Amino acid sequence: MAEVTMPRLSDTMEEGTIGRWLKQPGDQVEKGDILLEIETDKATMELESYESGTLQKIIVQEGQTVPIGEPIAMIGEGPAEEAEPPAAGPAPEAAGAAGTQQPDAPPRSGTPTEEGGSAATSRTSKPGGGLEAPSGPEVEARGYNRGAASQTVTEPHGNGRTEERIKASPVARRIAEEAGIDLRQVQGTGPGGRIIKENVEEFQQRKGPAPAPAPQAAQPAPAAKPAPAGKPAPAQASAPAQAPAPAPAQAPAPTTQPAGEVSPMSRMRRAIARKMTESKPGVPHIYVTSEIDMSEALKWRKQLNDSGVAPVKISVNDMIVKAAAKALQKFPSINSSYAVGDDGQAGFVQHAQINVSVAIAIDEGLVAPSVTDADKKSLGTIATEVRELAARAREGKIKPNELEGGTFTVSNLGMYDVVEFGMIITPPQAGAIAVGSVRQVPVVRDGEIVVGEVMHISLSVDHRVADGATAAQYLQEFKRLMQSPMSMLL
Amino acid sequence: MSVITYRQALNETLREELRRDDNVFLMGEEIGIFEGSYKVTAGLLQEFGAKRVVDTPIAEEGFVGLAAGAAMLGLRPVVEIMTINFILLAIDQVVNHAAKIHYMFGGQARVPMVIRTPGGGGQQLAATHSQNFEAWFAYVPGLKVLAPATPYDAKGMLRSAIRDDDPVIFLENLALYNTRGEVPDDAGDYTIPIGLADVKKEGTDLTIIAYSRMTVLALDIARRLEDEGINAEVVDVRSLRPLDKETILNSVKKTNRVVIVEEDWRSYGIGAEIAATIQEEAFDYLDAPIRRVAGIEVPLPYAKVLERAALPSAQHLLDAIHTTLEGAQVGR
Repeated sequence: MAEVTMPRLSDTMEEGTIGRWLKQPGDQVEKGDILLEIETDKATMELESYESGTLQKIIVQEGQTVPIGEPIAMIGEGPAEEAEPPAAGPAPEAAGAAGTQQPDAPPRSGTPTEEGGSAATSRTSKPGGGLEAPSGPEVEARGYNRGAASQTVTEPHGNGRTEERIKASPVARRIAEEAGIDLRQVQGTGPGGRIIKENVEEFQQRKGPAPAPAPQAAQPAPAAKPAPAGKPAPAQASAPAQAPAPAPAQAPAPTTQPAGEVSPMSRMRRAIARKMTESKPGVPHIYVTSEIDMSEALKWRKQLNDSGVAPVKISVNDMIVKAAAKALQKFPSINSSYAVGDDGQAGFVQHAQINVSVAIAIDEGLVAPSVTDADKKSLGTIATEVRELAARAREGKIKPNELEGGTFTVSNLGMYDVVEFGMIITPPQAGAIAVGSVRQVPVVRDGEIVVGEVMHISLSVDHRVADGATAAQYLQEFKRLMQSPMSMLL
Repeated sequence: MSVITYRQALNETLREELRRDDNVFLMGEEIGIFEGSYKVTAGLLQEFGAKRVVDTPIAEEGFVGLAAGAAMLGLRPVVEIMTINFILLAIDQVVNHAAKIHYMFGGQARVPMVIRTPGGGGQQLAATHSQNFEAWFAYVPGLKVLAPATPYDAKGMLRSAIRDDDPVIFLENLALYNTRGEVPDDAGDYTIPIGLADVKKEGTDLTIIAYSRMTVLALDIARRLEDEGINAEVVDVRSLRPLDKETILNSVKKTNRVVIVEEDWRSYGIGAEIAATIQEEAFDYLDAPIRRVAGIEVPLPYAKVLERAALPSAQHLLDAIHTTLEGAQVGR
């Protein structure tokens, strides 16, 4: 069997990230076939296979980074070894994915007596496969327990092999167990690929804690729906919708820790935060879109600019910044940040200031310097500041401190003729609005079809700290301000 | 504070203890007129006279047994065995008598004696005169075994040893006698309790565990490692029996990685005992196998180059540290 190792693809390359596996375990590979895409510090490159055979095993999963020379896959003769479950997938999906991941695995022959029968039999599908052995960490633990080793050894298995023993240091093993991390997902950098403490800690930081093996946490009613039919994972099956009494939910790690005092979250809020993080790693977004009638705003803007009293010309975007900030006054939960308190529990920080970051496209990409206290500043001041920030952004002269401190972001792609789009929130902020073009469309006004000028606004909110209803109400307030712009002056 | 040698620290302490307590007396070969082979007892015969600084015949078993008897009757003998190599002649008195009397007399008799003796290689004294037998004594219940590394510790621990009511083996090292270190000026009367290890340097990346001369080596290496960005903690065990597990385990729990360095032979040594203790009581805190650096298992050669090759060196220790840190993102 031949190892596929992380190649050196450039002189400066020290490590590479697996971009995408183009072959799956069980696939036949010919010399010269593209095996995978590798992301380096410079570019994404394809790696051809130097061997012919069957892709036996993927050692390093997509998204994981390893130093050059580390084995990333095995190619050999015969059927594939067990597939590793995709990184960071919660159990039910993993089971489903593993079942469908390798439809191309060649049918096995000549081993009719063996359990499983398919080369694609994976660990995660074992509970459904009639084996009594528990899945996941418990099996690993037994692998180390000499007293129980005989059980492991005699355990029948899909391809006649015993459970693969994961090399991990005792402290790494302990931390992983405490955090509910599946060591199979962690890349070891110790001698011989041993998983050491910092590998687990890094994994934990990157992914946030995995769902607890048997979550006894309080679940919000809607989230306590039954596990997907057919393949209930053990963890799910053992956690029916119980009375919400036991241990508090595990707090997902925030991407960035904001400054300020962390206020505790309600039990339900924490459960929601955990659920949302499970479904979408990082910040779980919700998107709410609204249509704004811009006729009043445009009229008002023209008056202001024609009057010559404004220090600079007021743009639609300036009005949006002002309205967004003003609306945040009424919805402080959106002007906040998800955080973890000293007790390790999920919480949030409510920001005393409303600082609106304005996304500015520049040649190199994008910067979002912030207008501090945007709710308190006049439209003229906002217009002046944004103009000045934009000018300096294009010259590359934005100071790092101007990029910090924003509590909410406005991104406007109106000039590119987009109807609407969805923003990704910049942690630790909890909200952002995406502004589409102002378009002339037929609208119904007083029972008549007339030419109206409308703009779509999409609000993204961190679902851990606020819900759709709050987001919708915020947009209502935003819409009210934009449709009766004089009220922005109050 | 003043800076004195390890030898001076011992000499001063013996003098102070002879002055403090009339029951304290010294015995050994050539410790009086000749002032000791390593001059640890310099000036003491002159000050305290031949009754309290006793030159003995070359008969280790006899005078160690004599000391044990004197201790049973209330005196506090401090015996010098010229080097630890000669204690083999007295081992029955040490192991079968001094160490057991308190037990076998049902607690009615105690043996408050100290045996001071230097060990260690590196002086080209060849196979029979360069040994370290601490493991032999640390193995025996009923003995206390100390191995200080600095003048400060030597003082504080020799005081505790002389004042202790049990037999104490006080291990010095030939190569330490001329090393210097700070001790408080108005000598005060500080003591270092028996059974207490000392974190000689705090660190986060790994723990180097050492005692006696190897502590000096470990500290030197730990400072060098800082240039590489490696922050090593140095735990000086100091007391081999009883062993301060708590300090050792706390350090391991902090750093997760351990290298033990000892001058004696590796097999069945002090390092083996410490490693076993760590894995028993802090297994879940280990991030790498515990490594030992020790002397090569040969009778120590006379030839300088061979002697040097057989003793644990800075390079051996550095190599072990780098191996132990393999994969960790510290340094370099």
